[in-house]
Amino acid sequence: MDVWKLIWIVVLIVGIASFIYISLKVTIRGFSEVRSLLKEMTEV
Amino acid sequence: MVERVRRLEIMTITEYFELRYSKGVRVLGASLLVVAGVLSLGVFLKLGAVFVVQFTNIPETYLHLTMTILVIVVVVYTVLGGMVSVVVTDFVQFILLALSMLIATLFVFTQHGFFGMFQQAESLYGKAALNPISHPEYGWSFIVYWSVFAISGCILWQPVAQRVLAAQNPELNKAIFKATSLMFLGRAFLPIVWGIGAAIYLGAQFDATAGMPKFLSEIFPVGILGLFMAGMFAASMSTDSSYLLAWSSVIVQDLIAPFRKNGISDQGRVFLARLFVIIIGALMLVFGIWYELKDTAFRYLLDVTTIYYAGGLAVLVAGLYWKRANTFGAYLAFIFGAILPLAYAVEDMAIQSPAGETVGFVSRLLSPNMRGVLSFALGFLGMGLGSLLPFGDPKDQKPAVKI
Repeated sequence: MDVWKLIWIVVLIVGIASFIYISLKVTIRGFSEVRSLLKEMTEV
Repeated sequence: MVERVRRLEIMTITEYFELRYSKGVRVLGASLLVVAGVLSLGVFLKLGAVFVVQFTNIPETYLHLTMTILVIVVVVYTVLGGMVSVVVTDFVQFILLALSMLIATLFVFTQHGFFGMFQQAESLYGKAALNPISHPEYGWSFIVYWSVFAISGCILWQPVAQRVLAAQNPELNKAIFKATSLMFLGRAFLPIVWGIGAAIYLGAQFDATAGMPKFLSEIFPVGILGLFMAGMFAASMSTDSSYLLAWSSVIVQDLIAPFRKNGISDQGRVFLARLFVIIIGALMLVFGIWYELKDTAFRYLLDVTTIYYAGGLAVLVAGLYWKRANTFGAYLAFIFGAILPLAYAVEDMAIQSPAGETVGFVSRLLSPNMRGVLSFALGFLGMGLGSLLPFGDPKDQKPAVKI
């Protein structure tokens, strides 16, 4: 297989996997962060 | 580099220019940053509107109306809500965007096949489809230019830098960088997949800006169409709002506040920041309606951002690692670095001819990649010359900031 094709395939798989993993992490953590930010604002 | 800057406890990179060099260097750096920022923001609105028009099959005559509605929505929620509204809406928009991006990519792979996509791209463009070195528009000069450009963006571009500088501590800062680099890899590659899919589906000659939304609108079923539209709308809105807030803050913080003897009250800062959000929003609209992109949006953004990056990188690196770097060198670095991209931007805007017919002096002189590489080299040359030659005022020199 052509080296460049292999590079594209590997980078694409790593990129998509990282995107899914970090998106999930940010979403889960972001919910609690936004909730506490809004709570702080309501208290102020 | 990022860790060293974070240890200085500053909020904008232009503050560092004053801390290490002088108020004048801060003002010059901030002026170039605002010019680069507003020029890049100018095309975002048009790209967003072209996407909406192509994706929803609205007649192209409504393009300007779409742009006007988009800018009004984003300016109103940025002005009324400020930073908190931008943070909260950015988060909600992120979820929508991430989900729709992944679903869209899945549909593109279903349409062309994962491995089939690469084969079809090769049959369309030949070897240059996957090999950037053999591509006539890219090659090594582009790889060098893009590498230096991307490194500069991590620390010099205010919307990115503000995340870095606001991190709780330098260790957390490093962790953010590691995580976001992987995220950026995915974020960059997913739209590339859509672009390849569009080129295969519509043919290589189809307009690059309009092709991708047209292709996606044809392969998505009802329901996914709506989700994707909301996701892309979210991406466009959150980018525009972050940028509006970043550039208005830079104008107030770095261009107005340093000249006020008694400073500006918090209320005054908020008022001015909102005022500049409205002014920049109006400029975005006027620029978007008037300006016609002659090359791809990617190339345009590279050129206008280099106006600030080319000198900024030299000023930052020399300030952190070179004791002899001085104010005169910093001025020369900014001026030398900005000459070529600024001359090209002015020439490009002055010649408002249809795509492919622009043959200005700067365009003839150097290829876009060489222009970029040379601009960064000129930035470092300016810093070296200014700091080594005995023209600078010795009183102007400050010792390297202790970190």
